[in-house]
Amino acid sequence: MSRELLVSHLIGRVVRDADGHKVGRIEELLARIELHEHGNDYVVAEFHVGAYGLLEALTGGVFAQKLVQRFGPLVGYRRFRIPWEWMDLSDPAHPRLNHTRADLDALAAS
Amino acid sequence: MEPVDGVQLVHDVLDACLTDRNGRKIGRVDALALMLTDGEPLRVSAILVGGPVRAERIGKWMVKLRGAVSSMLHHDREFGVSRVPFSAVRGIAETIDLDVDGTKLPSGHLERWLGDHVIGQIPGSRGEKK
Repeated sequence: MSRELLVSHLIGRVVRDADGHKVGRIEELLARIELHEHGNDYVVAEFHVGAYGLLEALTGGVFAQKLVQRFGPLVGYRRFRIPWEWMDLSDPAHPRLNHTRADLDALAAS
Repeated sequence: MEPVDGVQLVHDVLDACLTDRNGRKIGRVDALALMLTDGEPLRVSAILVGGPVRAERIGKWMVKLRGAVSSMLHHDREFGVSRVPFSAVRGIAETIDLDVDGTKLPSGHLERWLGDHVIGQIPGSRGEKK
């Protein structure tokens, strides 16, 4: 079954891992070209999810988020690059990973 | 900043300037539609320009205002939206080049109407000399 959704409806959504723990918010979607006989498609290969740590409550606005991203790890900000296969979008309002936070940390370290 | 090997849909595409096949500027990317199919990656299906998607970007008050005006004029909710299939994208750089005729897109209707009926009525607007 196929359905349509807008990028703007995914950006900012809180992502939780398979255990229900909060991972962060979707910040970016990385698309790559997929070549076919009948043409090309842009498909989403990765979701970039930002975790603001203790500053989460202060990063409601775009300006505050950009500021925190600029200072990165100094202020507890982390960005995860999550493969599309890991993301369960059966409920796009509540995206969920089919892996745990430990798997994500292992992926980021590799 | 780590390098990326693909197109960043928010950074590179959303809000980017669009040009048609004649090099004419035809607006900005107000929204990107994705096709979600079970067991497959999301596919970028269309660029949306104008209408309610532009109003959404401005704010809820604009969505309400636009909805009120549309119902007064008996327009449907999607009036004024241009939906360009992503397969019409010819290049993504500083602008996004589309293989479409910009004069036929519904999102340019208001701009064309203003050009013909308001701006075009101002003396000298058509470049004529005294």
